[in-house]
Amino acid sequence: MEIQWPLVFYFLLTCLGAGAFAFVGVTEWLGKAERTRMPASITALVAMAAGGIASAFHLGHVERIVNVLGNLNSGISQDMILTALAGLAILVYIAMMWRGSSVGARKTVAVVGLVLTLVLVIRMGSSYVLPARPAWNTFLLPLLYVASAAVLGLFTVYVWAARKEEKATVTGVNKATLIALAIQALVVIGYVIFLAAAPYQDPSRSAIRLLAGDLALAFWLGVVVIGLAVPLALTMRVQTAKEKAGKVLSIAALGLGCVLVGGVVLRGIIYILGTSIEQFL
Amino acid sequence: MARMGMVIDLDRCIGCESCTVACKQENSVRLGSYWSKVLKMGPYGKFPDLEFYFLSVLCQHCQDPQCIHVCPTGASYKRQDGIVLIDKDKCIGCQYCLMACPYGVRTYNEEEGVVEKCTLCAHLVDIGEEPACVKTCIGKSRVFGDIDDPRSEVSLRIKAAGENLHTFVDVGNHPSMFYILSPRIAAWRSR
Repeated sequence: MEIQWPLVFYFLLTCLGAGAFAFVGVTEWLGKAERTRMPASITALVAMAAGGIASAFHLGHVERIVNVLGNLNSGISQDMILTALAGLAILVYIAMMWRGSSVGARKTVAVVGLVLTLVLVIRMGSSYVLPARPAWNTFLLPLLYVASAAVLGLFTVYVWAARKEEKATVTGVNKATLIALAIQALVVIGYVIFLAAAPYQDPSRSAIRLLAGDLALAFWLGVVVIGLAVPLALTMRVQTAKEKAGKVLSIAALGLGCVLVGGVVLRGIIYILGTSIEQFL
Repeated sequence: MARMGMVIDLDRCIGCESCTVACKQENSVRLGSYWSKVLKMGPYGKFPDLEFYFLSVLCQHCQDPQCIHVCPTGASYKRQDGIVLIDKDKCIGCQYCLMACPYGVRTYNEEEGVVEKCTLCAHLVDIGEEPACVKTCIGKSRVFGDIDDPRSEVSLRIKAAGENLHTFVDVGNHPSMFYILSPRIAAWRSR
C-alpha cells in the first residue's frame, strides 16, 4: 500500500522514545548512568509526544480522536492508551528525578515505564499483523519493531552519554548497541526469508522485489548499508578501541542519524510490501 | 438470525457494468471511486483455448469481518442481518479497516475524511427493496437474500450450484458473497 508518512514518523519516534526510556528503566534499576538518565528521559518524552502529533496528521477527523475509546479491542485504541500511559510514567519519572525523590520510588516508576514501553512497542508492531496483508502477517513484524526501538533508543542514549562524558556508560551503551544492531540484522534477514516463503505470493510483496526489484536500492542502501552496516562499523571501532575518546560523540551522532534514516526507509518499505491478498477496487 | 448475502452467477454476467453505474447513482459515489466494480478476468490460456470471465467485486459483508475488529471507534459495525456498515459520523479516517480488508474493497473518501464501501443498499433493504445492483442487472445474474434461510432463492441457488460455487479467499473472515462459475465458461481464478 501507499506509504503512510505520518504513521512512519509516529512509529519511528515512538520506538525511539520507548527504546530510550527502556534504557533509563534498566539503568535506574541497576543504579548506573546517572547523568544520562534525565536527558534520555526528556528526549524519550519529547520523541513520543512528537510521534503522537505526527499520527494525528494521518487522520481524516482528528477532532473525533476521543472516539478511539469506542473499541478497546482495536490495536489503535490500545496503542493510544499505552502511549499515554508510557508518556505519563516518563513524565512522573522526570518529575521525581528533578525533585530528588527516593531511589526506591524512582525505581518503581522506572520499571513500570520500562514494562509499558516494551508492551507498547510489541503492541504497535502487532497492530499490523493482519491476515489480509501476507507480508505483514508474521510475528517477525513486532520483533522488527522491538529491535528497531532498541537500536534507535540506544543510539539516542549514546549521544547523551557521550555528551555527559560518562565513560563507563559509553562503554556499556556501545556494547549494547552493537548487540542490538546484530539482532536487528538477524531479524531483517529472517523477514526477507519469510517474504520468500509467505503464503499468497505476489510480485508486489516478494523477496525478489525487495532484493533485486524496484525496492532494491532503498533496501540495500537505506536499510542494510546506512541503517545497519555503517552503525555496526562505527560501534565496532569504539568496541575495539580504535576510536579516540574525543570522537565518541561524533560517532554516536552519526550512528543515530544512520539508524533514523534506516528506520524511515525500513518502515516505508514495509508499507509498500503491505499489499492485500486481493486489491479489487 | 438473518445473514443477508448474494449469489452472483458469473455464467450469466455479460460485463455491462450496469451494476457499477446503478451503485454510483444510488449512493452518490464520487468520481473515481467505486463501491462495486466489474473486472475482466483474463483472457487466460493459449490460442485457441482462451477463456475469460467477468467478476463483480464489492464488499463481501463477511461473517467475521476483520474490519470491524480493528476499527478503534466502532464506526465499522455489523447489523443483526449481517450487513456490514460504516457510521461515517464516528469514523476518524484512520484507514485501519482498509488495511484489514483482504479484498481491498474499502476506499478512503479524501473529501469527507472517512472510509466508505458497499452498504448492500441497506436503506433500500430496510424498505423491502433489493440493492440497486441487483435490481438493475439485465442478465439477472444477481440474487440477494437471507443465506441462513434454506428456502430463500439465494440459498436454493447456492445449493444448486454444487461444485460451481466459489468464494473469494477466506482467511477466517467467511465472505457472504458467492459466485457461480462453471468450467464451460472459465476456470475460477483465486489465490
